Amino acid sequence: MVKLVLDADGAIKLARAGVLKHLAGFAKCFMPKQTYQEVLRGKEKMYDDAFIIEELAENKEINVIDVKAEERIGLGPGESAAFVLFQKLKADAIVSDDRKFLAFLEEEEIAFLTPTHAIVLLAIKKAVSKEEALKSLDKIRHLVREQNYDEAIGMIGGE
Amino acid sequence: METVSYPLRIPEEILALAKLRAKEEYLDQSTALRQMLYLGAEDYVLSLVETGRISVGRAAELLKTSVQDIHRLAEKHGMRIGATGEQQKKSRLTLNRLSRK
Repeated sequence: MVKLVLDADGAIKLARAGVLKHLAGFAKCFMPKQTYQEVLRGKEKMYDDAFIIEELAENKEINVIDVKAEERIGLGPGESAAFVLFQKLKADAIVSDDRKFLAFLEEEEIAFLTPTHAIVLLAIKKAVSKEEALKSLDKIRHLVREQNYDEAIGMIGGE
Repeated sequence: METVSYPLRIPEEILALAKLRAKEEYLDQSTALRQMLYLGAEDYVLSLVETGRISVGRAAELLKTSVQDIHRLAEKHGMRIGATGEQQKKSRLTLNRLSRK
């Protein structure tokens, strides 16, 4: 089974897209405790995604793991911990759309998957229907780069 | 957010603006000034995220807010802070690999 590590940015976007539960069904999803705490801060302002992620973690659909990570310049505690967790689990990829974090992962030659591509993957693997995938991309259109949205729509076969 | 006192010379015009804001928003002048300073910091932090100098998580930490709020602020400022074209290409390689698994 595919093993994915989620950072806050990736998890939040996929929760808003309404496909995080599907991703957790398709792949083994992990999140460091630091990332989980970052996400849960959103509960204070009633962000839906924070409650969705909390429920998935409580139901063990997303595994929250405690790891120790040193601070890295320009990264938050959640991203640094996601990097450590990826190495510890020998995961397949980190799911993130965070420019700085992705630049760091490129330097470290770590595989990553953006949320738009995670949705495409779910569509390819038929974990969601084409229509669901297109709808979910629309839900996060305002949060991702237009070119990345257009590319994902094209890959799924939308207009 | 924890505060520290710091001696600062402020242009009269800015102080006048802070007075106006304080009056219109029923605040004291120091609070109005702090809010204006915070708004400037918010813009600066977002520009650092947009140019890939800091992550969203670090931005949230610096502004003592949530990652969700950083997304909302970026949207409000019309900023798209996601993966660059080059990063998306690399992500596609992972997508191709995982879709064969």
